[in-house]
Amino acid sequence: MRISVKALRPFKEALGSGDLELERPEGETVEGLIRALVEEHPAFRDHALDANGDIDLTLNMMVSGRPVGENDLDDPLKDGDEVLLFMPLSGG
Amino acid sequence: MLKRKTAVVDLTEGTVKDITVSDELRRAYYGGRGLNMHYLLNMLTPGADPLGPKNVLIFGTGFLTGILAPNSGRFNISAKSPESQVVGDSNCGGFFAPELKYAGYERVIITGKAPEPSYIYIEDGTVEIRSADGYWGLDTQEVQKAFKRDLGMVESAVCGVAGEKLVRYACVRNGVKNAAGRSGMGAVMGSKNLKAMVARGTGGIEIADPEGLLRYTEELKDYIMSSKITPIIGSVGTPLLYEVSNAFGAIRTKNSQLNQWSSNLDAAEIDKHVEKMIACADCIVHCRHRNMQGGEGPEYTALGLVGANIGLDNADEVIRMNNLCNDLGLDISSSGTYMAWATELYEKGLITKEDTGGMELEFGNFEQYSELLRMINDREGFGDVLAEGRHAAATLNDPEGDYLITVKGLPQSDPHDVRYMKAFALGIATSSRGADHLRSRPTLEIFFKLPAEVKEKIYGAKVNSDPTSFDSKEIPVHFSDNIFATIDCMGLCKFICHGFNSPHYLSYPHFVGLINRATGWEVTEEELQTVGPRVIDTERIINIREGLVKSWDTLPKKYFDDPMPLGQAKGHHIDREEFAAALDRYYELRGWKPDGMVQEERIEELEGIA
Ligand code: SF4
Repeated sequence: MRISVKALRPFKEALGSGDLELERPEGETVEGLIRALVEEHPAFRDHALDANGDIDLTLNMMVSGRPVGENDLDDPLKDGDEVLLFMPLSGG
Repeated sequence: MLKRKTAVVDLTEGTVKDITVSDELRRAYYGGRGLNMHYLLNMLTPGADPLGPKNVLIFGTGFLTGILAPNSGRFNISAKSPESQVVGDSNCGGFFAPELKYAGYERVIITGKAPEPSYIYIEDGTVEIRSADGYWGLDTQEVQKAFKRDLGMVESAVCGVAGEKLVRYACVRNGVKNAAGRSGMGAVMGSKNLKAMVARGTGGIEIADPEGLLRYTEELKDYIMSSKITPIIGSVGTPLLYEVSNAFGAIRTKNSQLNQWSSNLDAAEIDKHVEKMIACADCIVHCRHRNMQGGEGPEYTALGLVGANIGLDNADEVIRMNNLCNDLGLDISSSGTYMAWATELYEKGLITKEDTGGMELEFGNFEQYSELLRMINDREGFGDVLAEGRHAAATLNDPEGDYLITVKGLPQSDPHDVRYMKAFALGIATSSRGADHLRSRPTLEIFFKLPAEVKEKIYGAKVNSDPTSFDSKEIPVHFSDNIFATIDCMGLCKFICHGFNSPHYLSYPHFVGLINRATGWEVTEEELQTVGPRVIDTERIINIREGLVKSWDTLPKKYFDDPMPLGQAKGHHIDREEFAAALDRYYELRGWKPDGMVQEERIEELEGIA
């Protein structure tokens, strides 16, 4: 299935691009996608994973407009999903 | 310990008097915004003309300012706002606040009106009212340079010509860009014939446990620097937020007719114009850009409000708009909001060339908006109308302000379109000074993966994890209100504090650690947690005296009526019934009456603090 990833700073530098079009196996989960990106882009590891190897709190994700909560990492992606990766920040 | 003097300056009489501040009062409100509000409650005549001599203008430094606590160089300026319907209060960084403390003063309260243009000079324990001859009529940069030229290594907080001419959203500036931007404090200065506060100090501040404080400060610095967010704030700054909001479809665009705009204003584009990152006093983060166009910034607010909101998509032009607002001393949030408002009214035919003095207002026209800013500053032609801000609504054929993005008469401070994030919406609706993210933005709402049990521990109650739901969102708003008010009393920058950004930044235990080492007091976390609600209630009482009723705690009409048209946030809007129910729950949590009024016993208690 085809998944598009839009990564904002600082993740886009680590992934080499802010816009990725990926071919992924059917049934891949959100967490699976992130771990695959870590495999492929070692510079992304420090951003994506915390000291315990879990998905870092500061890697925020939305999948086709839905926020990915703590219990949604196992949700399977579907063909055509758009995944947005961004760091949660506030300011003005 | 940690104590500096408080002066009351009567500009009409030309007198300066130091007043005593009890430790009981200090422990009730600490400093900054909190103590300012205490004095406003006690000194402001309800119903006073905000641009008249009866308004009370207060410059108050943070409790922890000047002692090397991380990011602690902040102060608040407070008065009745000439822009909004309610209390005016604005927090500012830069270098003025520590200098004022070293000059021997932590707070200066100003009443009356000087018979001629003046400035107040504070040096090593003395306060003088001096003639502003030679300084009046200069913009915010020229006048600060002139003070340095004439007086040496001083720090000043100044208004520009916009303040002198009573533009209702004129701000107060220290340095190139640091602003007490919100709610028209520059106009209050102008109304008092006060061009500047100028400070020079060589005195130290007495600390109970200097070595312990230094060690603890080092620990806190390490803690702050260990966050993954800190280096991003320090290298990219708030422009990062533009691309986050924009990618998601939550950037106020063309007076909130749209919610998504050009990627030309993304942080990577801004980077091309950045000379280097700089910082406020005692800051370890340095989130500020010095730009190649000769100014500082832009922040996210500028990219949104003098960028997307007025239809500009060229980074160089937006930076120039930012620099112009800074030099003139105009609040960027309000300037961008009012110019976009007028442009939509023009596009819709509600106003015509006859109203605008021949200007054909159109989104995206850089030259036109630059000229309009200058005209606002000089109160010239149509600029004179827009200088009145929302007070011009009837003149501009929008008598109910249906097209205005304001709450309680104050334009929304930040460019985030809050129709998706319901807690953000409740936050700007209930904020004491009007629509403002710095009062109660519950940012932890966007830490989507924050475990429910961690959230429950932070908030003391379960909160619905769906950001688009109003269910239980009074809880994060109430929590954020309280901690942000406490931070503003301490004089700390919200960027390094819990709740505004990472949950792993400074919070009550850290504030207590700093306070006790600095003062020798034995403040507990529990005691400190009473400060925020006290400040919020004090502000509420001031607002009630100025006529606040429940219907003022609301949102711009568009946020209710118009669903967001674009992006991932498409279709979201504010449901009136859900909003009303959340507002009722918020009042209950705060201990207010169902009509939003403060309980009589609480009023008596707060009026009794001395
Ligand atoms: S983080 Fe930015 S706003 Fe805060 S104190 Fe530092 S430079 Fe100033």
